[in-house]
Amino acid sequence: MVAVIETVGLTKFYGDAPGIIDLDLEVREGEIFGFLGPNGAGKSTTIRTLLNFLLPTRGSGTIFGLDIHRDTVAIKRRTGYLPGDLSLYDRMTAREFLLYFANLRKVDTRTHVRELADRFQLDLDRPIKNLSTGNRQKVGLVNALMHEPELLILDEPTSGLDPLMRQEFLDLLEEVREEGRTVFLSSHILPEVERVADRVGIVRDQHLVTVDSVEAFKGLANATVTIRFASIPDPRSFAALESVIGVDPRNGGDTLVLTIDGTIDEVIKMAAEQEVLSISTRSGELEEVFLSYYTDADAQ
Amino acid sequence: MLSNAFTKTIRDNLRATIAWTAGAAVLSLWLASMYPYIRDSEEMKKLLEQIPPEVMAAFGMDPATFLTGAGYLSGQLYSFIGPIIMIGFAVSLGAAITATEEKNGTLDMLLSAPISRTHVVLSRFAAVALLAAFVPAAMAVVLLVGNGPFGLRLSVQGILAVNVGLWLLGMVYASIAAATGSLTGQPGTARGVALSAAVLAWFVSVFAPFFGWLDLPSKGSPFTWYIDENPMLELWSTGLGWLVISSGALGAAAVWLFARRDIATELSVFPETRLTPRRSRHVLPRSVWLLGSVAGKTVWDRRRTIFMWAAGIASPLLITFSAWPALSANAAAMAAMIGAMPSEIFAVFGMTDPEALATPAGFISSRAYVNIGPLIMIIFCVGGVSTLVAKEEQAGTLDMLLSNPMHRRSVLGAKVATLGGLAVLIAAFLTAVAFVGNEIWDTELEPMHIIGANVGLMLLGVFFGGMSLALWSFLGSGGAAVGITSAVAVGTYFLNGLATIVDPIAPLRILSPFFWYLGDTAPLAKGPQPAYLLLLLGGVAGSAIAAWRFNTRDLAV
Ligand SMILES: Nc1ncnc2c1ncn2[C@@H]1O[C@H](COP(=O)(O)OP(=O)(O)O)[C@@H](O)[C@H]1O
Ligand SMILES: [Mg+2]
Repeated sequence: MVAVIETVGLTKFYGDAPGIIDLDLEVREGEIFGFLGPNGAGKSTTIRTLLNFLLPTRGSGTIFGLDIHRDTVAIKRRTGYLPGDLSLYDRMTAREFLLYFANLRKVDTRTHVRELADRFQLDLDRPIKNLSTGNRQKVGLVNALMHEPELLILDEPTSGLDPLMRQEFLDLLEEVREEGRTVFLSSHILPEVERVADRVGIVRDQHLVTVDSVEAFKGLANATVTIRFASIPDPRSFAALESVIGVDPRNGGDTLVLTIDGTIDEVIKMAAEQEVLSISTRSGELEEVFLSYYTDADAQ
Repeated sequence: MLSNAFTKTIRDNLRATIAWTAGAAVLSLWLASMYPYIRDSEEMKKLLEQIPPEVMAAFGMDPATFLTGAGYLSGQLYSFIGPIIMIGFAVSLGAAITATEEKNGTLDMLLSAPISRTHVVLSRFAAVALLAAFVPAAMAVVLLVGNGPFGLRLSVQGILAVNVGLWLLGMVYASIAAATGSLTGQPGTARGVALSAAVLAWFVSVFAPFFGWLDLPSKGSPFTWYIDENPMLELWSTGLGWLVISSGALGAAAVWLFARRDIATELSVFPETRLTPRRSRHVLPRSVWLLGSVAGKTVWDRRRTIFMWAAGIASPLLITFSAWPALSANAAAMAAMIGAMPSEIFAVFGMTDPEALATPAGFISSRAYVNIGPLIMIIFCVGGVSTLVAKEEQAGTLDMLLSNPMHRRSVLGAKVATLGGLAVLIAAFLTAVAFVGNEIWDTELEPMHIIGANVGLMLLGVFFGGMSLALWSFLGSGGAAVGITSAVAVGTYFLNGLATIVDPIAPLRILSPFFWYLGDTAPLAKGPQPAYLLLLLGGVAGSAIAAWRFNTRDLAV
């Protein structure tokens, strides 16, 4: 696969303070890459260096095979960006803002802006200063998406969005991927990265700790589903499901603790054939895997 | 009781206060140290007795006292540049009482603490009063210390009175800014209204001697209250009382207004006009044709305020033209007297050719092109640089802007070129106004001279704009760039004037941009000058340095 973003030993120091150290990163064409790390890990520093807002202390990087410093304009023509710390021109309306930025790109984005605004339920005609945090974030998102860039670089894009909008946005990212475009998504929110990302890189203390596919991480951590039935079910029919890798009958057999690898869709459908008294899922183990990377660099 | 809101305000503004105070102190020290040279000029003493009082008054000088320390300092320090420093500082403090934080959004946080709004405004008002006092206090200390060594012969009471007056003058405009900020929640509006009020009051007071109809309004001008009876000599005048009363009343208005409105919502101020139902979708963007480029957006941002700037310089220009007939009635007598005068005396106003003062070119230049014109033009250019690029970097929108496929230097270039274009526009407008004034009031100025003066004025602004741009690109701080540029502007303004009197600094005069602009002849008495090229070069060089530096550094760290 072709690397869309590639960095070699990319390092940024703010004076003496480290921002990101020796980053070797590869983001492949057509994937959603989740860049996951706690606050202060170095996500924004990385992104702002990729976009030539910061000059690397050492190391280098390319996007689309173009040098991040020398060819930044050519890169930006094909890239959509949402800053982590979003600020907009307060006195403009969203429509004016988006029109201005479309003009700077010399593209006509009116149809797209309308579609995206409808989708995110964004009122384009209010002054930006009167918008709530979530709605400002939507303006930033529309701006990043409206010219249909080949690469999206999004720094904590869902902050401020309500759950419905967050959902809508993650769906949109998946559509972007289906079109073969690439997404570089920084986040500290695990479930959303888990939901959409193909691969995840974990940064901690300005270092990239590990990169792997979400599936591989899931291999390290399987979710469990605990289902209590009105009558005693047949454990074997659950064990036969592709996504179930372990069945543990409890409580005299009316409760099954299922270890899941993959989606729980099949399990739910099968369980629904009988009367279910309660159901609880525990996906926290994946979170625990990630947390172990957050808190302990040696955890592998 | 003094609360945390009080001490927090002090701490927030400490650096700015130190900068303004240091500037005022250095300037006072410099002007005071020049006094012995002025006093020892023998001829000046004789001649001053003969100058028409109206003319002297317009220049902030009292003929009876100009050569005393008190008269000299009243004219040089306390009638124009001192009030500018004081009011500039006080207005920025006043706007910060509520409006600045309201715009930033931190006011919600503050008001979530268990303290009343009234309490917040009052304790900040007290803090502002204290901070504003630093400027005149430093000036007073300088004069108290310099009194003996420089032979100023000032009375201690006089020093105190004039500085208290200056402080109260500042507090009037701080209160206007605070009240406007309380009403609108917009720091920009608050500053704009307060500064406009100050400029207006200054004009009313200064021109009242020429126009009978200004007599009555001038009695209500804070500038009249402050300086009409020279506080250095008259000590505690009733005018100071009026300053106290008006700043108190305006402060109370700030409290009252702030306690009665929604915080940080646009709907709060004029609900009835803003609440008209939106025509739902597809409202046409405003002035959409400007939003096609960075340059267009730069104009878009100023599509309203540009008229205020133009009017800001045009009105003094027109008023000065219209004052000329009144003055020219005395012209013959005045010319004879001025002709015999040593040239030094008016040099401090940027003119070394005093005879010219008796001519329309000299008189009109002295009002519109020597102090207030450059002041407004420089603020436009330097302030423009600060909002164009420095504030944008600080606010974080520069990241957004540069995520578009454009080179940094072309973004900067477009902004700077547009700002320069707007300065040209203002100059062109002024030229037109001057042509009209020239026709109406028969001042018989040469067309080429009118054009030359406006070109020079514009290029002076361009020079300091370029300078602040270069400073910003290195310091990364718009505030510091504006501060240093202002200090250099004030310093070189006085350098140009004083270098003609004070031999030791005479060789330095050619370094002053004001010398390149003013030279030895009033701007309206000469056409475009070769020296103007220096101003242009300086502006271009500053911009080029900034472009180079801006291209090769981290953004907003
Ligand atoms: N302007 C700056 N000056 C000094 N240190 C900074 C600056 N910006 C960020 N840092 C430091 O760099 C590290 C990474 O910050 P950042 O990239 O913003 O993290 P993230 O986006 O992952 O939360 C942090 O330790 C932070 O303190
Ligand atoms: Mg960040």
